[in-house]
Amino acid sequence: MPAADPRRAAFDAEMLPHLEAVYRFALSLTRETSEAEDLTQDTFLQAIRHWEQYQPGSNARAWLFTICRNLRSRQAERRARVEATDAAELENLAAAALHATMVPVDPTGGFFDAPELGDVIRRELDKLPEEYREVVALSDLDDLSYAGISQVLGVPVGTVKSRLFRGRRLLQEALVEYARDAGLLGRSGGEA
Amino acid sequence: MIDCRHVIGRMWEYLDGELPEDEAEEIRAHLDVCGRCNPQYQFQIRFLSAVVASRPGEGAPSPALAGRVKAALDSIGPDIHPAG
Ligand SMILES: [Zn+2]
Repeated sequence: MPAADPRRAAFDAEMLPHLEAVYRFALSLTRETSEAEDLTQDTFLQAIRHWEQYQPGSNARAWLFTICRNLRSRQAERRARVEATDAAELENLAAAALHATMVPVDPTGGFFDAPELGDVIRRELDKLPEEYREVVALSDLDDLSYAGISQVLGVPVGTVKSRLFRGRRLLQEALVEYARDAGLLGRSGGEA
Repeated sequence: MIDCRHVIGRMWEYLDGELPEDEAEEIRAHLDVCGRCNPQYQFQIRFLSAVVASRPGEGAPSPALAGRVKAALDSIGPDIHPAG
């Protein structure tokens, strides 16, 4: 492909000498060679799209590094969102696995209606690590939405969900254990 | 068509009323007929109700607090009162 296009020719002349430097910088961010190569490619694609914003003769390398770093932060944000979503789903599945152990003895959770459960729940909530306890309290005691909790804590909604669900699951495990030890499961057969 | 894994994986979002209406509708329809997901749903409702019911009473402020706050607000002075 001959660089007959003068815009492209100028870009190539000014930017391509920095390819290796960009790759090394990308590698320092990703610590993984194929990711670094993809990031390098994306950096140059982004650079040519915004070529008109480049001041000829200014620090080309710094300009490319800035683009590279911005692309990388956006990728990291996207990945964090996906991971938080996965974590929330996994907590739901873990709660279902816990429930599966209850199916033979109390499939619909009749033991939750036992009169002493309020005290037990308060006690077990107090034992939760603070990052989970505060989210469970904001959601289940103070009735805030995920968006509201996100605003209060200054964390993304995905993080709110993964913490809330982890907190609920830990609480649920503690309550099931209490019910087993206290003999609540044989008593009613789950039908209140 | 949604499957059990999808429903189980979003149970708490569903119970919290945080899903888009069309997805919530699909889950509601599934829960009506699925013998595997429905008990899990009932179990989680009872769990959440028990947590809500456990709200500590001693967390309520003393009856005097509202008066105290109003007095403190009054003491800041007239400048910030709305005109009229
Ligand atoms: Zn199902």
